[in-house]
Parts: sequence; C-alpha cells; structure tokens
Amino acid sequence: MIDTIYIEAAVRQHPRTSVILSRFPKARLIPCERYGEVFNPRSQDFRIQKQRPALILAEKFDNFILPAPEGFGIGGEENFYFSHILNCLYDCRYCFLQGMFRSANYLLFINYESFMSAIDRKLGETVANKTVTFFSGYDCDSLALESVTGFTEAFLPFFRERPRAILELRTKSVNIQFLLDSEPFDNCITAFSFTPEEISKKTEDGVPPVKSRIKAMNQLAERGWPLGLRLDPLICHNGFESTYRRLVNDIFAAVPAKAFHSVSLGPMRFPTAMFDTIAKLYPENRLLAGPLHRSNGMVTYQKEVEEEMTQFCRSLLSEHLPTEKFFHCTPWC
Amino acid sequence: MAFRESQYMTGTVNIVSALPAEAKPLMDHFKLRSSQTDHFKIYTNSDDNVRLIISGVGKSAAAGAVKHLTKLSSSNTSDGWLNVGVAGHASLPVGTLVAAHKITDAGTGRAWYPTMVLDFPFETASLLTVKKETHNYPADALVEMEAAGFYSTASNFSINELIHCLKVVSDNRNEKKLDSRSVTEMITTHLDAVESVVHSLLRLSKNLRKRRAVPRELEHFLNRWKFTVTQSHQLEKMLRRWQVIFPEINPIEAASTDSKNSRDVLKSLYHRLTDATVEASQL
Repeated sequence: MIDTIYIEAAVRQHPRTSVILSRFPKARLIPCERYGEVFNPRSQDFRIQKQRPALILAEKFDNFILPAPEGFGIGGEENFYFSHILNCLYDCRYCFLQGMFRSANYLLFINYESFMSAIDRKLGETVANKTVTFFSGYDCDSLALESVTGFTEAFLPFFRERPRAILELRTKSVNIQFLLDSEPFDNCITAFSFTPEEISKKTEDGVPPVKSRIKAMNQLAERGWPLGLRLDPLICHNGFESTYRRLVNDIFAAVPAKAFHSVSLGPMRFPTAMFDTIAKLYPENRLLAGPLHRSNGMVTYQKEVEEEMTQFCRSLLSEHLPTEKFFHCTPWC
Repeated sequence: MAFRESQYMTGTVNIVSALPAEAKPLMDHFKLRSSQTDHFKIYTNSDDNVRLIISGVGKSAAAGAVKHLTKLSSSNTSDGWLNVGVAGHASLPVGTLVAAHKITDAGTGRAWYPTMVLDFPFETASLLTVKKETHNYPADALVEMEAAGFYSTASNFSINELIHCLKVVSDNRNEKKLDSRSVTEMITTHLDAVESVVHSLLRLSKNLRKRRAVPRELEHFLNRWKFTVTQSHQLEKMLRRWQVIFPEINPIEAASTDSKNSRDVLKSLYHRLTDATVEASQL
C-alpha cells in the first residue's frame, strides 16, 4: 500500500516512527528536514500522486486545535477540529482535499501527545461544565489508516478520561476492530458518511461497500458505541428520492435508532477557487461537470435543488429519529 | 466534441545528458537524429516526442540546457524530463543504475524530491550535486554535478511527477570507470530500464496534455463573438463541462439560437449546463 516514506529528521528516533516503519519493512525511506519540502512545492500533480501516495512522518509545532466552521456541531457547546493526518486513503471525487492540498501524500503528525496537551489547554480555557466537541476527521478519514497511525489506540484512552470532551471519529472505513475491542464510552461518536450505493460505486474510489459499512455500524451499536450518521455530501441525480430512501431504510433496518447520537446532512458545495482546482484535475468527470451553479464565491447545486434534496432526506430521517438529533456539519454552508 | 488532436496525441520526453559518451547509447537506442546544433547539440526521434540535449558538465550547464529545450516546445508544461548520466557512490557497485529520490544542491543545501510514482525496476537513492569533481563520497548518496541544476529548472516548467534523474554508478571507493568508452558501455547496459522509464513518462505526459487541452470549439466561439478576457475564461470552463455533459451536441449550434452577443452565448450555455440532469450511472 505505501512504498515510500519521507521522514523528518526530528522524528526519526521517535518511538511512534519506529512502530510505523516496522509495518513497512520494504518501503523506500527518504529523509527530509521539514515536511513542507515534500508536501508544499507548487509543481505537483494531486491526481497523479493519488495513484501512489507516499507517507510523510512529521512533527507539528502549532495550530493543533482549530475552531470548527461556523454552525458546525453535533451538540457540543463549543466546536473544534484537529488533524493528526492530512489527506485520505480513499479517492472521492467530491472531496475538498483534492482542491485544498498540492500533494496527495499522507502527511502524518506523529506527536500525538502535543495534540492531547492542546486539547487539555482548550478544555481549560472553556467553562468547566461546558461540553466541547473535537472533530478528528476534517482533513482525513479518522479510521481508514488506523493500521498505520494507531490513532484511536492513542486517543480513545485520552478522551475516555475527559467526559466533557466529545470526540467525533468521521469515517467511511470499516476499520473498527480497536473500537470493538474497547469498552465503549458516551463521548466518542463514530460517525459514518454515506452516499447511496449507486453513487458511492461511481464517485468514492476505494471506499468499502455501503453494506459493509452498515454492518460495521451495527457491530459498533451492538457493542454500545454511540454512532453518527452523515449524509454528506448529498449528490443530485435523477431518482435521488429512491436511492436515498433505500439507503436510509437499509441503515435503519440494520442499526437500532437508539444507537444514533446525531445525524447531519450536507449539500455538495465548494469555494469557487477550490472547485476550479478540482475541476482542472478531473475535467472529464461528470459529477464535477454539473449541474452546478456559481454564486457568492461558491459552487453549489441550484438553491432549490439543494433545498429539495435536504428537505427530502430530512423527512426520511425524521421517520426514524427525533429532530433534536439533527445537526449541521458541513463547511461553507 | 474533440480536443485539438495535435495537443494530446502524444506526450514528450526531454533527456538531458552532460557528456556525449552518456548520450550516444541513448541516441542510438531511441533513433535520435541531430536536429539543431545552435549553442547546444539537440537530437530528436522521427516523431519529435523524444528529444535529447547534451548540456555539458555542471549544474549551470544543465539548467541552461533545460531552458533551451523548453523554448522548442509549445506545450512544455506537460513534458517529461529525464537526466541520464553517471555518478559516484561510496559503496554501490560500479555499473549500478539508480534513480534519485532526493536531490540536494551541496552549494545551497536546497533539496528537491522527485515524486516516486513510477515503477522503477531498480534502486533509488539520495543524490548530492557538487560544483567540482570529487571522490570524497557522501554517506549513502550519489554524487555528481548536474542534477540540481537540471531538476530545479525543469520543475519551473513541468510537474515533479514527470521529472527524474537516472544515474549509473561510475566510481566508488574501490573502483573508477570514468573513461568515455566505459561510460557508454555502462549506459548501454541499462537501456531497457531507461526505455521503460521513458515510456512511463510519455504516458504521463500524454495524459496530462489531454487533461489540459483547450476545447476545440473555443477558437470558433472566440472568432464568432467578441469576448472579454474574463468572459473567455468563463467560456472555456463551460465548454469543458459541455463536452462531458453533451458530448454529442455541438455547443456552437446550441448557443447560436437567439445569441446576439457574447453575453447571450454565455447565458445560453450556462442555462443548458445548469439545467442538465444526471443519472447515477453517468457519474
């Protein structure tokens, strides 16, 4: 899977580096001073790199915890996100990461303890009885690279001891073994993103089938882990009513409604500059060709189309869950 | 609707070698003929999609050769670039073929990282570009005199994924084969491997050209109506979308009805594109 690993000189001797390298005994190891030398150069092609992403092991020095976008939340009184890794194992054509970063390489910041200290500082800055949500899957999939990163293994014990800090693990992965092997706790929400199977097959390269992800949700629910459901992004297509109805029915036929902590819906939208970058990478792609509309610096479906899809899916979900569990979790809305 | 064929029918690879002894086996293998001798010696194949330039020794010479070649290509932002030559290494056996995965300019300390997306059926290693010939070999790195000049200049024109350096070890702590005949023989030994890299680069270059090609109809629109610069950018984006959504419909015909000026044209195309529906199976 990974045949090239860039390693910052400063983390070469880090114990987590040794563990990760032991998983890739045949990988080409390339030393670098700072990850920016590899990740940031202008003359890179995200699409070509995505065919064979390398792993970059680096140390992060600042901006560990960032405020979540306005209105982004799942019930916590304050909302932040943190990114231990930039970029994703999967290749979803609508993903904003393709327009955000010049490189498709996986950039892993291995100083997890610095993230934890920053989370503690942030909690210390908030009123003692407030709940604070920390989203971990904003610039990556929280679980997809678990076998490489050991992320949940490191962070679950940390959050377990801080009940007012809610951790969202956002994923399309079925990499849930560590969660199944762990005692569940209420302030860790594993949130699965879905598009209908027909859409997923066409636009989400490498993502496990919908059926497998529903099975993973069910396993977690049976184990007692709270779940999130994210219909995000909503993809416009002829007959979306029947594909989304089937998706929602399949999910709630397999997973008890009481297991859901929260649901959210989000239309497909991009800032125009980001969209133009992505469209240049995939000019032949039908999803990106539209029907899309430019307005107020954003590329979106027409307002009435967005509204129709959102209302339809809201009403579908209302058949299974109370509206108190509906939240807003999409950037740029 | 099609792209301009000449823009994407083939990719291009430019090979830069410092010495005639390094270049000769490549010229023979790829059937390259002299095409220009003005300042630099340049050789091309009959399709003009594999070119070779003899740069001379040193990073400035390599940089100059790259710049010179870019002037000969109208679509040089999607060209592949390959530096082929010899280098020293402390311990690798003489005759070993190696691709550079990190190139450091010993003079400035600056480093570049060719993206490892090709299947190199041979070793890769770090490489140090020095100003003067040396037999003080750095630990675990190739040492030579051109790659930093070559790479830094080529990356101003093309993308990292398309720029690579291949070096055959000509000397180590125990052995030196630096005469012209030995150099030519050592490069000759690895021609199959070099060819496989050239073919991979040609494929990437071709795909990149196809991806970036300007829709053929753009020129027709620009000739028929008067567009501002901003409008022509908008038009190009719309025509790209058009060829995906309506590949069987000529956009000129679609836009002509009731279009008196460029604004009408853009409005007409925009509505057609925005109103288009899509089946899940088409995504």
